[in-house]
Amino acid sequence: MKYPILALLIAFSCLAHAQNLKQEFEQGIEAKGMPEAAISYLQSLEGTKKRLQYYREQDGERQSFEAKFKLNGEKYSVEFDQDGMLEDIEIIRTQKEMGATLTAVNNYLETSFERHRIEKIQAHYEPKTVFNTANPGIPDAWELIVATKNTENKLERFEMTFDADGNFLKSRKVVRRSYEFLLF
Amino acid sequence: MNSFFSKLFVLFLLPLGLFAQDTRYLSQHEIALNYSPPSRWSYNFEVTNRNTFPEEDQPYSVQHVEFSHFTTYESGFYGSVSLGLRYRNQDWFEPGRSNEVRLTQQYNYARMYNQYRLGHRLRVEQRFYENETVYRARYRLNLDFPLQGLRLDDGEFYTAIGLETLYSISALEKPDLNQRLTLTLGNQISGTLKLQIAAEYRKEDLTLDQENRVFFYTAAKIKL
Repeated sequence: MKYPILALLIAFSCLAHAQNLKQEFEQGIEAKGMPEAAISYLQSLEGTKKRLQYYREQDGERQSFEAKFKLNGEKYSVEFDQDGMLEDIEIIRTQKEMGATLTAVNNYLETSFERHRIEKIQAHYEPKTVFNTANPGIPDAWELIVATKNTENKLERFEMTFDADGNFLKSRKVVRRSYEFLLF
Repeated sequence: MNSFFSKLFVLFLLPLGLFAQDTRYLSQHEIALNYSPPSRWSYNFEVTNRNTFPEEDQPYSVQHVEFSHFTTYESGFYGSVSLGLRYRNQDWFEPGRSNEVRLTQQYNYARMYNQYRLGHRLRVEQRFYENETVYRARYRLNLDFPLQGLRLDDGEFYTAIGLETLYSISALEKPDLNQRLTLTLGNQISGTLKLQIAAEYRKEDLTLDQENRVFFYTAAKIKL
């Protein structure tokens, strides 16, 4: 009986090694781990930022940073490259806030899938010199997470990008987080 | 008179029943194989072994080994239905204890809320023993989330908290209401292997003179 516990401890202690092999990971970091340029950009955004959290993402050799916070009651996600240069700003929106664009998006989804459900909507803004948090204006694109069922009866989840008018631009399959390990 | 004395007897014994609610410690080890082909079907195979911890009056002993299988079909965007078959052998380790064949019907509904996932699991079980059949209904509420960042990557830890209520009925015994609280800590060693440790507190029915049990689990979850 002691043996499996021992094996588990050994496996856990091997983690330092596993970290080196890891290709892609994302983790929460402290403010001091963020590039200075990113911090000063965030400070330039007007309004009180609540629940501010920082993340670092490693994808092979490429490194990027992300800040998530709530401002004026809206959920922001701001991405920076490894030097702290702004990459994009995303704000979570509701279907209602999409306005007429939603009709175009739904038309596309209805013709492409047997069934769909929009799970998350983000208004996507490209970097610009001044970002007005009180009135961000029309987004450059819409990023959606959509759960779908296709005609072959298969359930899949996609991250889809639509332009400001709701025209489909691209999609990427979202890797499903498995559950069996906690289910049985 | 007879009835009066028996009532008095029960009344007198009742507080002693509370003292009898001592705790037993057990350990359980699992190896699970999960296969999810690119369809709505998925399959789970598991081998489990349960042991007692050595105590003053009882040495370490093996309680049972178990072989389980579940077939799961995705239903809707967040749900799944499963059918399970389990064989539990106790006779090998303690001759005379009945082996068990268990049929399980399961419905699960799990949704993500950012990095958190909330799962509802409803199970109906038929537990066939040599001399009786026990019917059990159980519901589990389970919350799990990664401990490093928003996404579970290789080498990272995750945790889960589960609360389950179980209700058993059978022809030979009184209905039995159980409560289980489980805390799990796991690590995704690689894309195909997760290792988990867990502690579970099982509160057995107060009305039956049974002891509470604390389980320590170790599990290897392998994705085929």
